[in-house]
Amino acid sequence: MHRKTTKNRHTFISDEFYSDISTGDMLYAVLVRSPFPYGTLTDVSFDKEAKIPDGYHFFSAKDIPGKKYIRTLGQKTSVFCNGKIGYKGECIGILVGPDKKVLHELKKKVMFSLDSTEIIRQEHEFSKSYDSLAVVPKNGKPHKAVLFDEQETQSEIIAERIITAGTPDQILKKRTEDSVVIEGNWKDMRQYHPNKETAGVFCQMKGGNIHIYAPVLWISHLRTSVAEVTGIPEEKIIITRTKNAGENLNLLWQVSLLAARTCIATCRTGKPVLLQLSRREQEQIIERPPEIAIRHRTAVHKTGKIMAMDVLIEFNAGFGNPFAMDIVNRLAVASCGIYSPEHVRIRARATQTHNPPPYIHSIDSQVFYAVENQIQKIAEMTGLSPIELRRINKCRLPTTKTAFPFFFDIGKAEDAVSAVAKKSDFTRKYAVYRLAEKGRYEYNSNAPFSPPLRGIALACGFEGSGYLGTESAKMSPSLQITLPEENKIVIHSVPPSQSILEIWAKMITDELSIEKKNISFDFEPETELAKKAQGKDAAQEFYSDDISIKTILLKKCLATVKRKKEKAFPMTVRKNIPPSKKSQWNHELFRGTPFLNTSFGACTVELELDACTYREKLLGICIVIDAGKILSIKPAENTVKLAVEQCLSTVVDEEIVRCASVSVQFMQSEKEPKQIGHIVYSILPAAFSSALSQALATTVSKLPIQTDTLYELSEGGLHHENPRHS
Amino acid sequence: MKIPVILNNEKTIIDAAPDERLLDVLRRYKILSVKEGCGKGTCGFCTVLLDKRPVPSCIIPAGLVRDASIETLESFSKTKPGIDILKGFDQAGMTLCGYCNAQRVFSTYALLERTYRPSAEELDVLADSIPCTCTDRKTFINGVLYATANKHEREGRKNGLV
Repeated sequence: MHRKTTKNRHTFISDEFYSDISTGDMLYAVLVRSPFPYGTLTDVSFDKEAKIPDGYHFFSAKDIPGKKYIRTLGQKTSVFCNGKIGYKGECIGILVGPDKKVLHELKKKVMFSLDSTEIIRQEHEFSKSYDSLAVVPKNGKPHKAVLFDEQETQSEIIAERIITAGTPDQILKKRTEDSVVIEGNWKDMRQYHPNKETAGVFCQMKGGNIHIYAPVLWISHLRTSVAEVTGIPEEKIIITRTKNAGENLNLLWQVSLLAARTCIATCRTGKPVLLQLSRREQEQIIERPPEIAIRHRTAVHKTGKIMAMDVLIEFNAGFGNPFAMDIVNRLAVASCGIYSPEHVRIRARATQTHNPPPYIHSIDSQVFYAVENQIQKIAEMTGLSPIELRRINKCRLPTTKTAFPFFFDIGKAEDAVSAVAKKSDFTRKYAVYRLAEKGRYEYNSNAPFSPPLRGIALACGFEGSGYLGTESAKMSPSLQITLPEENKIVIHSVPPSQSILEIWAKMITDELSIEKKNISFDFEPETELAKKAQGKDAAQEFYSDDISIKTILLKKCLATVKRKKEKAFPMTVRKNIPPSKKSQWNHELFRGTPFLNTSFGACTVELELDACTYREKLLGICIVIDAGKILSIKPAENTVKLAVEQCLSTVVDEEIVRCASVSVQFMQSEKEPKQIGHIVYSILPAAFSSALSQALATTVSKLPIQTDTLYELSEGGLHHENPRHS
Repeated sequence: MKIPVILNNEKTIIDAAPDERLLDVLRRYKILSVKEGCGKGTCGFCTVLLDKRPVPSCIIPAGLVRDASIETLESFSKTKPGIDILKGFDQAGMTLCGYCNAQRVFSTYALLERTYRPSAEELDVLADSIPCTCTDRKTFINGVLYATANKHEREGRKNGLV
């Protein structure tokens, strides 16, 4: 659709899937992966008795013509592991050949040799995971298995952010009649599987150039990585961005790794090669669920004012995660949610473990899950109204003097919370269910009538776009449009999703009377060399991909074109975010307004627990969002409802929770439009687990839950002292 | 092995090993509407019509389709029932991701063949059977209802009567 045949183009955008591309002489590729999470690899080869058919090849680290690693934000990642194994599943080599079935058979015949002087797992563990392991015997005799050294499992802190304001320790240690300290431990390990095309790459040599087709998000990184690994000059690398499955921080850089591996195979065989990960590899390596544990200690005054907050965030970053610091920073920024206590200590740290780097679908959702559950717990234990608690503690405007380091413009937050409470009849139901929860232990447990257990909870949060706190990019979001003729427009950006495209098309038609069929996209990212010459850094095309920022910039571009009295074609207009907005964030002090704009959302979830089947039934979800001016209500509503369905598919393991009654409303506003794609992920899980906690009369502190968790929790709640009411 | 089939209404002889997956055979013949999904026959991304019934082609060995009629989305989308369904999806404002197209279209076709007017329960069961989350349930169900209306209009039938 967007392919151009201009001579000097190096980047194209295509509507097709890379896995649908094929040529007559194409070879398939499979990756050979380490079955062990650690150890030192000394040799990789084929079983001596195995016959490798003609036309089949195996390439490993020794076959790499250029650098043996790719660089992502300073972090080196081996193309093929050659030495210390980082995690189970780390790539050791690539097998290519014309028949996929034969490749899978050959994969089983790959032999690994580990350094036998190192402490290793018990032999039966090895043989369970891999049949053809060759363990080099010690002194000619097979040595006895040695128990695994515990020290090897200790994780290493690779990124940390500590923020302190005021004297939180003093406040938290003080015990007075007027205040209480409440502690909560929260864990969110929900896994979201888009269930789309798995990651992979198609490469071929043509006309002296190497052509790469991949669902790439970070084009310049892929180009640089392939150039450094293969030794092919950057201008000879032609990249076609194919249809992708959506945002995935892992895919940002892992596609470059896959491309580097495939290109090595293409260069060595001279034939086109298609590498497509299996569904299992996709789930275990690319989409491994995040492990984030958050501990909150909150000192609350009897009036409901939060006096101090101590937040500890432990993030398992896996092995060699280049975005560990970015993720830690982002978690720290959102860790207190919409609340701004005077005294706060936030410690966020990422630990390196022998696991693949995790896939975080919505980066703020884990911390919002923790803080909103904590607020709900405070409300339950102190008897304060959840609405009042939020009203008293919501974050202040940047103009207010406060020690709290972050400012978020959450607009009509109070009105949104009141609206959602009114819509869902929250105040009345909360009081009734709370009474029912408290009095449950007075009921006769053998009563013939067992009323359904019900709960309702409220959660709120924000979604920030145009994040300024990233370590990786000195971002300067900008957008350029070109009008080659009066009725045509070219937007120099990657094409957005269909719903956003509809909004943009409507804006363009309204402002300039240009029809949708005359709108096209054209994107050519700058090369690393050009960027370095201009003093810019990498990842710009991803980080400036915040769609709401682009929408604002597009609106400004269209207004400029409309204002011009004399239009000379072709006309080019470029708009940037003003420097004054960027200067609101101080990266050295890690303080200020970290987002260019923020939308706010409040959500209530009401559910009922069937006392016979111990399964939850959602009675209703109400969501109210303040996202500035809504350019097109129906697509926005559909986006939110779709996000609700996707989110509900993650809260119970291996089960999709449905809700028949989902109400979505937007606050009326003339402010600039804000992003709403991820806000549901930040507010719905906390509201769900808090409502479940009320229904069960015991705290649900971890998601996802299992189908039998509810039975275990409810039985435990009946027979033990209710921990939610001290 | 040479296997005679009727592929998209044309008599064809496909060359495949008897245990080769029908999905792989079709993709080898450049029929790309069938996509690799779970590989276990549960996700439905590889659905085709085998003797007019939707089946997951990833668990059908090629040896079993001798003399069978295989219809894929490429051909089905040009037929009248296919046009009814795709038009219905369009009327509901659905934008398919490209990966689940075959499953959504063929599941809808099977439902409309089975029943003149699908009930709310049947629609719920249909929506539940689609694991892809590119489209929300309500929009998909609306799409099926539009498809139903299109089919009735084309057939000129009212209340099941000619």
